[in-house]
Amino acid sequence: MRTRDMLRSALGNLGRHKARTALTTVGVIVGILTIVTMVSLGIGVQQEMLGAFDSVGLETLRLYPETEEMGGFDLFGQPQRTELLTPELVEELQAREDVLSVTPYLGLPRGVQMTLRMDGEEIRADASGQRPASIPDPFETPPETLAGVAEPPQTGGGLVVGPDLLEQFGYQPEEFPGLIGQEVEIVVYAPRGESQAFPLSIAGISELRWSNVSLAMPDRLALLEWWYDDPEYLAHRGYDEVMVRTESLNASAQVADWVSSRGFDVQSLKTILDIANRGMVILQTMLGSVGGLALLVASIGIANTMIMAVYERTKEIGILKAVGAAPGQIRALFVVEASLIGLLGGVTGTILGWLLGKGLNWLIPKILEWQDVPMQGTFFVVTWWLVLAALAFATLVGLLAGLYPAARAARLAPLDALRYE
Amino acid sequence: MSHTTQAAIRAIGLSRRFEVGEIQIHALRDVSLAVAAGQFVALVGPSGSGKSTFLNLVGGLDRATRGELWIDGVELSASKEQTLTEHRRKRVGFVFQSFNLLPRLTALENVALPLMFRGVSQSQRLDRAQALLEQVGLAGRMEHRPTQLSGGEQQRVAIARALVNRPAIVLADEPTGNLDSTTGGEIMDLLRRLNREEGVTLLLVTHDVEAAAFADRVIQLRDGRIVEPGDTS
Repeated sequence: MRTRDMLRSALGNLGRHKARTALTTVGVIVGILTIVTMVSLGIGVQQEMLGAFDSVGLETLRLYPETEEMGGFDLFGQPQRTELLTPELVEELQAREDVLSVTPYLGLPRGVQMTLRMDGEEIRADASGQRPASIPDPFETPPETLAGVAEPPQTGGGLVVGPDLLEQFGYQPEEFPGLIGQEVEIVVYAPRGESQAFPLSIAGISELRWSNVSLAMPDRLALLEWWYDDPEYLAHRGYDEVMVRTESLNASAQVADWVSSRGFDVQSLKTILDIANRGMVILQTMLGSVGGLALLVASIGIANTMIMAVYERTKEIGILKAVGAAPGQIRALFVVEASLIGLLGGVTGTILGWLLGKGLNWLIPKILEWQDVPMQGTFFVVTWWLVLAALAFATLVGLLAGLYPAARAARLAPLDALRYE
Repeated sequence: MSHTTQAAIRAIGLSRRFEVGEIQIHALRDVSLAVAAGQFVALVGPSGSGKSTFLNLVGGLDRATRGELWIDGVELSASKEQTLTEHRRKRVGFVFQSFNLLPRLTALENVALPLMFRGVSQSQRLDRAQALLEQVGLAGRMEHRPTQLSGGEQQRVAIARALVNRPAIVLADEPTGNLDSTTGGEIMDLLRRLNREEGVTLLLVTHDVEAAAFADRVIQLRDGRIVEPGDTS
């Protein structure tokens, strides 16, 4: 029997019961839709993550001071540090040949009360959260520069403010360029009742959110020294984080070994990426399994439909056998029919899954924007291998579901089948 | 075996027993007979005499419990399913009382259907089916479905289908049973003509005395045994 005849015959039989075929297909559609959506989400998120890591570079290491586990806290509620990221360590790292750059970072403790004083007016500001562009957060898009420079000058004395804060002072966006170079003060208030003003000038205006301002390292250090009342702050507490950019992945591993042998906590992006990748595989498998479960249910539906079809067509099977159809040909006819139900559901499910992904790709950034979360990206990515795998899987599910009913049809005794009414 | 080549059908001690629960039914008991190639044989007898059972054994739709059945040199009783399929596909054609056409197919498609299982291309199938439908006088009804045809026309389609594989033997089980006497007579004329012109061996099972009168030889069966072997010449 020719493949064309087999397909034509199977399609004809499915077409005879359009409603039943459609209803049976729904199960497969739901299953494949779920799998395609979930796996494409996995692919999309993984690609976004890889892209984010790529922009930072995998040759980058982040060092943190070692803190005492279960150890005490200092006067200011910070964990005691046992190994400090000192300026000497930074110099040592800079001296290494395989190290391209070393960027130390000092954070300001949250809860430091400060204001921005401008035109004799004071409005609450916050310099604790803003990370310099040289140590970017891989999961955030860097803010857009509106006027002046993006980063406060490393020599200190300048700051970058956001539009929200300036608008509170009564400035309109078109006035922003004229504000560059204006003298302002950051006023810090200690709980003990004292306050200190740090004179600065506006070096840049960028899309910082809320009342965030960005300060360069010397100004952060000056602020911390005053806050902790410790002129030797760096010697006593060290940096909060040091980012080391090495020349290669290999060098990054060597530097990581060297640094951790000195007792520091090292995070290389490669280890994070490895862990994240493993996590994504697990996530994709789990999400895919949900669709798999739906397909299992769908396969029972297909088997049920095919068993009914065998009952209905018992006499026809008898006639076919009487005119020379072999059991194998009868079996093939029913298996092809069941596989086509699977394939039909697979095609529809894949198209719907792709459309759903498209819709969500459009909708999610809108929702995030509305929720004020500055995150962009394509979250659902349907690759060609996903399409092929989904179609093959759907067809396979149909085929497997059709095996038992087809075997029953093939086994029917021709005489009994002919007499069946 | 030499004797098997002379006769189209040779049965030796053929028996068929059915078991319905505890009860055993002997549908055919120790039947031996030979049918020459090209002969038109009518099997007659009351209901339950075993004539249809014999026909089904010859058609390879059923297997004998005991005995030998040789058709064109092939023994069927001990054959595998594959041999029986080959037998049904190549050596025999069926004509049933209730026509047994597929209602969703046209007359032309019904006739062409058996060729599909032999892997014949669609155009060749339809050409052959068309020629046969013309031969049985249905040139103008080819695209009609069975429900759009009269009983006599449906039986003509069934006869054309039985001939499509060029079988050596045509098996007709009460072919006039669902037809009025005039139409029945026409169908018998057609079968007789095909037997003469095409040289096919024709095995007819019937209650109908008028139908049996068309045959070269009438075999009477009762209670699964041959009571009158007819003229074997």
